[in-house]
This record gives sequence, structure tokens and C-alpha cells, in this order.
Amino acid sequence: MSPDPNLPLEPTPSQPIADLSYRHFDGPLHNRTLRWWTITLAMIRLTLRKPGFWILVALAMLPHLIRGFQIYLQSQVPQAAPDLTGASGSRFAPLFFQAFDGQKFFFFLIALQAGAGTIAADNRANALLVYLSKPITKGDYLLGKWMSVFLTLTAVALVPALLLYLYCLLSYSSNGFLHREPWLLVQLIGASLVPGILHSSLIVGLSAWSKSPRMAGAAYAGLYLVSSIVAVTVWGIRYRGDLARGVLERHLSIDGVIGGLAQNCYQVTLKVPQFSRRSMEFQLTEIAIPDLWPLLLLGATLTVLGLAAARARIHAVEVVRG
Amino acid sequence: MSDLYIFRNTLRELNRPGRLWVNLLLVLLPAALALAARAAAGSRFRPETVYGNVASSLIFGFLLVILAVVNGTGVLSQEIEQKTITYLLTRPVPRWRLLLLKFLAAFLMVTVTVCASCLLVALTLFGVGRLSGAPIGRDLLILPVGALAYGALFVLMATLLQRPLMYGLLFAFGWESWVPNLPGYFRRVSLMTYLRVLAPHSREEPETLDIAQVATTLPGTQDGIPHQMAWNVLIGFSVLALMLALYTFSVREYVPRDETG
Amino acid sequence: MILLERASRWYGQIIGINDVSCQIGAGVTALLGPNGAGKSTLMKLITGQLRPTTGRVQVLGRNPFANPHVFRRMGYCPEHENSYEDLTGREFVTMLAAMAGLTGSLLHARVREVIEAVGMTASADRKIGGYSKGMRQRIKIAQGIVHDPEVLILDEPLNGLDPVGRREMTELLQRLGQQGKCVVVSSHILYEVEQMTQNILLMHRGRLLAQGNIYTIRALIDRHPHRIQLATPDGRALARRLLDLPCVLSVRLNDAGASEIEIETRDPESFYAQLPALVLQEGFVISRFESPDNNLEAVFRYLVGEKA
Repeated sequence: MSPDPNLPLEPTPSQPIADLSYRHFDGPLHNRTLRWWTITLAMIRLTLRKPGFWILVALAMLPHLIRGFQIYLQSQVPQAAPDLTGASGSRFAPLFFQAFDGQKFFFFLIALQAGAGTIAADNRANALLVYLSKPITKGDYLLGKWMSVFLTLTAVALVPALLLYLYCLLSYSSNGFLHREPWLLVQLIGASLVPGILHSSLIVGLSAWSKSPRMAGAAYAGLYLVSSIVAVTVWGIRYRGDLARGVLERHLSIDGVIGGLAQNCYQVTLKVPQFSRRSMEFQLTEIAIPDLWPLLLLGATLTVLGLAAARARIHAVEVVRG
Repeated sequence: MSDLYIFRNTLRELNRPGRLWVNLLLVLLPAALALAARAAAGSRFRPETVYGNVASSLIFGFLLVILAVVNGTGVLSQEIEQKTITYLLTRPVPRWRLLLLKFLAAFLMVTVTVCASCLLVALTLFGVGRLSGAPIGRDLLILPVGALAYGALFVLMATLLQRPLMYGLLFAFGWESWVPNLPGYFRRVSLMTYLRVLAPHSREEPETLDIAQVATTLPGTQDGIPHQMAWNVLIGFSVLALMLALYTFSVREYVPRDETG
Repeated sequence: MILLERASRWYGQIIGINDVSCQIGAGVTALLGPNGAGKSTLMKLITGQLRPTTGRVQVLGRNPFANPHVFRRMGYCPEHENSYEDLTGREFVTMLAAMAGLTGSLLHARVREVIEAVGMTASADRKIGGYSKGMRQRIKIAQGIVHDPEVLILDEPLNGLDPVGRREMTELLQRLGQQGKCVVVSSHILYEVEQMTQNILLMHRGRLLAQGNIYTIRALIDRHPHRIQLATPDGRALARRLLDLPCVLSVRLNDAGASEIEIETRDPESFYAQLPALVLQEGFVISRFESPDNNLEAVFRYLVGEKA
């Protein structure tokens, strides 16, 4: 509650020697629920000013563009371009999922660009002292930083998907687009939230522990890539590259969790043409949807770990060693 | 004397306490994965194929490349980021020599880390007695060549680009993991292709192949690259990229971004 | 030692410095100007980090850009505080001294000497990461002078120093200037500069507004006659007498009691020569005498204010 501005100020006893002990801000906190938004907005503006970001955004939109073209071809020349998704049941959801799958590497790169410096740059400049001397809490600060990466990534995931959805809606409503897949809009929104939540939590967590955006980015790149390589290598050795088996194990990485959760959102079972060495012929291999709960648990654990790491590191006091 | 100080300081910067732990983890990680893979393979365990899988995907495909990206771009980007470049560029040391010394320190760092990691994987899978069964000697020779080629490329990127780490990662884990698997001649525009020619690894044959894998194994799509050519390309590329980097660094202006007032 | 001929530097569409020509010789020269005036750009051109877009920059007779021959005889202390945080102050200075060409026992002796000169002996073996602002400033100055350069360029060297530190550094820089070295110091704290030197380069919006001795420059600013304030019990009488002097332009009584008067003159030398005789002859009592605009701040204000 803010004090009445009409009330006279209470007289402060004059002190020849100032009280130099450390004090938290104990003045009135304005009842603004969106205090974090100022930080988010500033960070997003910073990201939008980078030309490299727009290059990545353009690249991240390509998979949806390609899938849109594919849908167009299918509708125009069905003989020349048969249903390439190989999926049963729904027709459009697999296309959206495959486009999402093509975007994943760019999500990672955008997360690096937008997120590596979120807190690391403040650590370097000792800006945390400035932030936390304002009437904002640690939570506001963290939420502000987190939201900046989350909103950026979600927008990059969502906007091309929505555009593709709009194209399908306008062009194929008469072909039963809405009727056959009424939940597709909700599914694509759900899938678009996944990379934002996971990437932003982890990158903000690592950024908080570094004074160099470059090193925070390098650490996250290492973590992301090594988790993928380890999961795929172990899966490859264990299941000899058989896509139908060990689906969950293949998804036990940051990239895998994102892909697996998105696949759960779209409820897509893919059928991929594979050449069998035994039968020496092509056959359609069905790739099942990975189990939801283990992936959800792993995703939630990674998210909480990232946020907890960031929160543990956010201090208003400069710690000097030397 | 000044050369020694530059070299030593660069090594020191690359081995700050926090980074040292990460490097140690990176040395141990492939060996740990080899152990896990050994356990996962069970009765089908064949050290050659597990070594091949781990060495090709984790050491050549990941460790070598990511260390080259981080350290290669870091020799210059870190100095610019922490603004210490100002001190270096106003000392009576020719710029090309400064960058060459920093590159050599990064090269040494990458080579030692990947070679130690590779050796540890071989020891884990083959044991000391059967080490001769592993292609470790060949890999220990080719890894420095890879470190040289990738290092030179990423140093060049650092001299030319404002955010070399980002573009380096895009190249390393986009281009370099995709292009070598393409059929035909296009794969020749990837460094990894030549490294694979010089250090082929026997891997677990998958039971099924996808369309791209089939395409690369079809008769007629095999692009046989001679060993000598792979050597020539890698060494030639390294020398060219490094010389370009040294030249660029000698003629371009490097001022920390917020200091142009 | 330093020569700029019509040097300009653009950053894309923004101009850093614009058509600057000047010569800087031995002694301490202060580079003055408000933020964004182009001081740092000028220093970067002199220290060979940037090239001029047009015009010419020469230091010790050579183009300084990436020129080791120039850097061997030049020291630079940048404005920023960033450094190798994991090195100790001594290691930092030693490394940069070695890069400047010092070797063996001379290297270590010289490092010891400069660390002592900047008052960092007690903290030299601590990591720079733990240094205060003032300590960082001192160690930065130490690395700039360790190889005994003929030309020393310091960007805001007194920032972050406490009053004692400021005095010590000012004295150190003055000593170097007296030894015949060319010391260029940028600052926007006029009081400090005034204590350090009378030689200035005044910049504003990328242009060089004035160069030379501050008092000479002051005398040349015709539009603003010198103001001299006198406190006396008999202000009206003194004012009447002063108006008879040909060098006095005007006299103003500053308060109702006429105990303080302010005169304006275009020829302060002549006024100062005639005033003692007048005071002794007429028996005036003068309790205070000052010239509020015969200083750097006034020069700065008049020149920058007019251009603003």
C-alpha cells in the first residue's frame, strides 16, 4: 500500500554520522503486478536490434514455408506429390510437427543469442546492484529476464505456425480442415510453448552463473549438444539404429524433451520409410509417440533446476574475491 | 620474451578455474559414455565398434568441434568482450604475431583436451594391454590436424564477424553435421568429410537405413576421396584460413563496442 | 610529437571528430570537452587503434595505426576499468612490460619501480578482480608508464581515485611532463586539469575549439571581458576612480551597501598594473580581490556555451 502523499513527512532525527549498515529497500512497493515487464521489454528491444537475430528468425521460418509449399503441391498435383508425411489419421498435424522439428536447432541458436547475456551481462557490469536497489524483488528481476527469452522463442515458434494454420484454414476449410482436426490450433500453441519454457529456464540459469555472455552461451551449447549426442549414441549402440525401438531413450536430452513433448502435443505417430538390411527392402517404420510423463518430469526438472540455479545466484551485493 | 608472456597468458585465460573443470569434464565424458555403452551393449560388446561410435560422434563430431569453436573464436572475442584488446593492440608487438601466438595457445589447448579424451576412451574400452587393437595412434595424429583446420577457420571468423560464436556454432553443428552425410560431391565442402577420410571409424551397422543413408551407400553415389587429397585440403585450408585471419587482424580496427564515443 | 592534420573520423553516419588539426609537444596537455565531444576518438586515433577517415595522424613522425615502432615509445591508459581479472596487479604490469620489450632483471626492477610510483606496492600481489576502482586506475597508469614512454596518453586517469590519490597522480604526471615527455590527459573535471597544466585542447561536438595556454585563450575571448571583483568598505568612491581608467569598460555595484564592486576590462594586464598605485594613492582598503572568470571553467563555459 502506498502512503498518502498529503500526509506530512515524519521528521527524521538528525544524525551527524550516517547509518552505514546494509539495508534492504523498506519503502513502499508500488502495487504493480507487471513490474517485471519493464525488464522484459528492455531485453526484447535489445534482442530485436541484433541483425543476427533476424537472420535466425528468417531461417527458423523456412520449415513452415516448405511445409506450406508441400501442402499446396499436394492439393494441386496429388499424383506428383503424394502424402509425404506417411502419417495415419490426421493429415495436417504431422506437417506442423515436422516443421516444428525443423525449427528446433534455430530455437537453440536464438536461445543462445537472446538468453546468454540476460544475467551474465548484468553480472559483468555489476548492474544487479542497480536493479535490486529499485523497488523490484529478486522474483520480478528473474521473471523479467526469463520472460524476455520465453516470449522471444515462443513468438518465433508460434508466428510461422499460426501463419501456416491461417493458410490451411483459408485454403482447406472446404476439405474438412477444421472438421478433421479441430484441436490443431490448441495443439500448435501448446507445442510452441515448449521450447520457450525449457530453453529460457536453462539459459537464464547458466547466464546467472557467468560474468561473460560468451561463456554462458558456450556452456549452454555444450550442455545442449552433448546431451543430444550422448542420448543418440547410447540409443544407437543399444538399439542398433532401429527407430521403432528405444523411443523414450532417444529423447532423453534437452533437444529430445522438446521434440518429444511437441510430438505429444500434436499426437503424431510418424511412419518413416526405412531400408531393412535383413529383408533388403523398404518398409514403413512407425515411430511411436514417446511416453508423456517421463518427458514431462524430465522437462519440469530441467526447468526448475535452471530457475533455481538463477535464483540462487541473484544477489544485490557484489562479491569480490582476490 | 614477450611471445612467451602472450602465449602463457592466453593459456591461462583459456584455463581459468571455472573452465578447467569444464575441460576436465569434457575429457572424462566420452570415457564415461564408452563405459555406459559397454554396459548397454551387453553380450554384443565389440570394443572396435563402440570406440568407433564414441570417437566419431563424440570426439570428432562434438568435442573437437565445440572446443575449436569456443577456443578459436575466444582468442579474440574474449579480449574484445572484456575490453583487454586495447592493452594488446597498443603494445609494440606486430598484430599478426599476437594473433598467431594466441591461436597456437588455443590450438595446444584443444589438441591436448581431445587427445587426452580419445586416449582415455581407448583405455576404457581396450585396456592397456589391447590398446594396439584401437586406431588410437592414427586418431591422435588426425585430431591435431582437425584442431588446426577448425581452429584456423574459427579464428578467421572471429577476425571478421561481430558474433563469431553464434555463427561458429551454426556452422559447426548445422553445416558440418549435415553436409558430410550428403551423397555426391557436395560433401567435399565440409572439413569433417576429409577428417572422416583420414580417420574412418568402424561403427555399429544399423539394422535399418533412412533414405539419405541409402542414397550415400548406393553404387555410384560413393565419392571416393583419396587420402592425399584429404591431407592437402586440410593442411591447405588451415594455412590459407590462418593467413587470412592474420592479415585481417593486421588491417582491421578492433575497438570494444561501447567505446566509440 | 603528435600531429593531426585535418583529421576526421566517422562511425557510419555519426561523426567522431571533425577536421581536427593540432600539434602536441612535450609537457602535460589536457584534452577537455563534455561527454561525446570526441576526446576518446581522438585518443584512439593517436594510439593507433583507429584510422582517420580523412586527414592524417602522426605520432613521433610515423602513422600510429598498428605500428609497433610507435607503440615502443608510447604508453596508453584506457578509460575503462576492465582488465585480466585473474592476474595480480604485478603479473598484469609485468606481462605488458614484457610485451613492450623489457626483459630480464630490468623488467622486474622496472615493474617494482612503477608499482611503487603509483602507490600499489602493498596490493600488487592481489588479483585485479578484487581491486577497487582507485586501485585499478593506479595499476592501469603503472602499465602505461612501465616502459618509460616518450608519449603518454591517459583517458580520464583520475576517475575513481580518492583526493589523496588524485594529488599523487597529478604530481606524477606533472613530473613526467617536466621530464620532457608528451603527456596527454583527457578529463572533464576542470578543477583537476587546472591544477595539472595550463596547456589545453578543448573539444566540442567533434571539433577542436581551442588549443594552447588557458590564459592566452582567455585573453583572446573578446566577447567576454574579464570580470574582476573587489570588496571594499567604500565601493562608490572606488568605482568612480576606476571608471577614469581607460582600460575599464564598466563598474557595477553588487550590493546595496556598495561593499562589493565588479569591473569589466578587456585589458586585465593594464588594470592589474594600475590598480596598486591607485589604491595606495587614494588610501582605499581592499579586503578581497578575485577574478571569477579568469580560469578554465570560464574558458570552457564561454567557448562551449557559444557553440552550443
